[in-house]
Amino acid sequence: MLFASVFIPNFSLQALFAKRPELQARAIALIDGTPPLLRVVAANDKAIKAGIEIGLLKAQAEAVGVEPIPRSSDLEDSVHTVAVACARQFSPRVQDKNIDLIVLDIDGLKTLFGSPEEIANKICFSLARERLSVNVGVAGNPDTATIAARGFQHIAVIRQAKQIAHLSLTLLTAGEQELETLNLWGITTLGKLAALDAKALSQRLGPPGLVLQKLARGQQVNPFVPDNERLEFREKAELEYSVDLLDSLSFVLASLLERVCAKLEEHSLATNEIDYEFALDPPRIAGENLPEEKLVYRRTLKLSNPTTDRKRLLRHIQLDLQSHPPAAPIMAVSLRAHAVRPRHAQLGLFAPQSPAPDKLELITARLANLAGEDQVGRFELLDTHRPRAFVMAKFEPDKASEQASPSRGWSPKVALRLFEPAKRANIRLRSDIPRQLMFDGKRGEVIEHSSPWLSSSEWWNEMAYSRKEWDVEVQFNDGTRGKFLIFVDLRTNQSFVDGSYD
Amino acid sequence: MSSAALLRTQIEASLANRIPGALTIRPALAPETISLGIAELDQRSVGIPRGCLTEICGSTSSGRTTLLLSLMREATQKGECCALVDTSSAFDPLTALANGVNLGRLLCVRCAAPHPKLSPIDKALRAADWIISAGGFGLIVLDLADLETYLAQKIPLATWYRFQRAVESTSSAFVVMEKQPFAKSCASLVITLETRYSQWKPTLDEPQNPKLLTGIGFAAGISRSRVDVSQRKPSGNSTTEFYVATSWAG
Repeated sequence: MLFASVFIPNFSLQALFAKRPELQARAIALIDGTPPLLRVVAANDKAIKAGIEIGLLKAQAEAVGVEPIPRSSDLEDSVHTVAVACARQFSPRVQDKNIDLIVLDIDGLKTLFGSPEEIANKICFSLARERLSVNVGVAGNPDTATIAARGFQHIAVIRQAKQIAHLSLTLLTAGEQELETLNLWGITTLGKLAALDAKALSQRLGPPGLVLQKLARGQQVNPFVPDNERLEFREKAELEYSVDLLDSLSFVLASLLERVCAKLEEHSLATNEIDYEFALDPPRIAGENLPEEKLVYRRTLKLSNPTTDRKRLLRHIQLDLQSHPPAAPIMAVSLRAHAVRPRHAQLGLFAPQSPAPDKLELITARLANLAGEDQVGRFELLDTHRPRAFVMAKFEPDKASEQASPSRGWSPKVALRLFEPAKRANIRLRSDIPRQLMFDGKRGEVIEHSSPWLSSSEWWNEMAYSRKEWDVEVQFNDGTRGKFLIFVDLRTNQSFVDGSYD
Repeated sequence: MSSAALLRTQIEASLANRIPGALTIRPALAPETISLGIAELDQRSVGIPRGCLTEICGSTSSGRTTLLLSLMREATQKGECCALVDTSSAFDPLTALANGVNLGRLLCVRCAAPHPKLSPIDKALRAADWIISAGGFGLIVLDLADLETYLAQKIPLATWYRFQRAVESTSSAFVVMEKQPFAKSCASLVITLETRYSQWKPTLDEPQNPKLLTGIGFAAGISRSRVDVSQRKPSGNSTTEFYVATSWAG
């Protein structure tokens, strides 16, 4: 096994300079604590030359002309996250041991990144791009690698225990009391501790002493437990001025999607669901507390096919926003993608043509935006005898069941064209027989008719209907003829033309 | 042999390895067609050509929708996807199901719902444009059958040209259903329909029993066809009659 330990010395200061590099040229002291007892916890070389020591009060630091800057845990956390992300570029097995210490399992990475020295160099270079100067220790176990990272500058590859023999005992972080005792005995280096008789050491210091000796001999004490990576694909942007135009907002969304999709691609993932959230800037009255739904606008975009196509995702969000615009200008945008594995479809050379799933989804969204969401899709018949009982469902031809229909001996049936909505008509009846029909400003004589057909159902709910229907053939005054389905609504006694046979 | 013919033979011979028959006019190939699914019309080899604009015209109750549903059945039963742009939201899915249309393979855009800026015809033309551009549909239908003639005449000829150009590079059949042909020379095939008779029979064939509409006889004529390369103009008597029963008549 081979492990690399990445140690970031003076982490608080490095984190500050990584985010605000312009401060490096000045004498800076980091202060921490509870006001008014704010004390110096870290200082750069210029501040130390000016006479700053760790533990001085803020006022004392200011007195010698050093700029005191409060320590920020948020800033340190964000730099630490960046460092862990860099480490994950080299190995998926990473243990985040401390804010300034990360351990990686680099076993088997030779073919990808080269020798252990080259791997360590590449890790250093990768973190240097994030303005972090780190020490990397490489050894056969994580404990020795950590000691090497703390004890050597820049890079150290430990192949034998004697390479760490001259290092100070203070590098061992465990057993402070035992270390103090060893110091009294004159044992100051790891080599001297390693050379002691284990049995005698155990009699004097007990198990903690043996643990320290194992560490000094380059043996593993603590197991390596890689962290489960918490993948989150979230990006946000705060705007200086509120935005109320879709075109302007699209620029912001495009850049956020670019970052989210790049991150997904890094992990060979795609997304089929994006949550987006806008912080709104509604007009307010001083002292008024607006409810959260007026301040935040949330939408979720769901796709049937996972993708990392930025343009396609942006177009879907644009169409969604056109259909459901927020009620106020936007101050901040946040995007979160749900990661899923990309789906690969097997196409057939001899399969019937079908729209590409990505294109189909986009075209359906565009059509829904044009005609209305409930006006586009496939017909789904409802389990009822009620006329016109159907809804529009999502069009998914891949999931369409094969509808067996005999090809031989099959004959077409006369089709009905519906009038949407059914047209009000004036039907002149004689002995329950329609004689004359008037609708759409036209008058016609009924020249042929069927007997009445009574239908009623769903009297138990608000969809109740009761009607008397006839099929009629009408000769209009203008010389035209047509066959229609007419009915009288028995609940309201109103007459309608439902459609024409065509 | 004339000098021109000799020259042509020499050029063709020298290019034979690279371009066989370089100067010979090749006979145009008839486009692939979708069967209409009506025996009388299939016997006359009338089919809807792919990559072309076809018009199905006729007045109310002339059998346009019946013909269209039969066509949709043929396409969907082969596993192809169809798209219907329904300008007046007149499509009845129950009748379509009775005609054997696989509704799962039919994308429908109902355009009759009110829109703040666009009329149903504007929505329908846009939707048709987008669907043709998306590609992948075996059959695309633009239903203008209930549209008043004066409104349909307002559609600029450029729109029909655009549709024709867009569809000719695809393997989709684009069908427009209307009262009169409006696409002029952009249409490769124009089928005109009319009613010949309707059959009303008493139930159980007893004269005193109440009557039922049992079927309608239609006539289909081809008033324009650029599909059949050997026969540019339709023959004088090209009308085909066919009878379609109602679903309750069995």
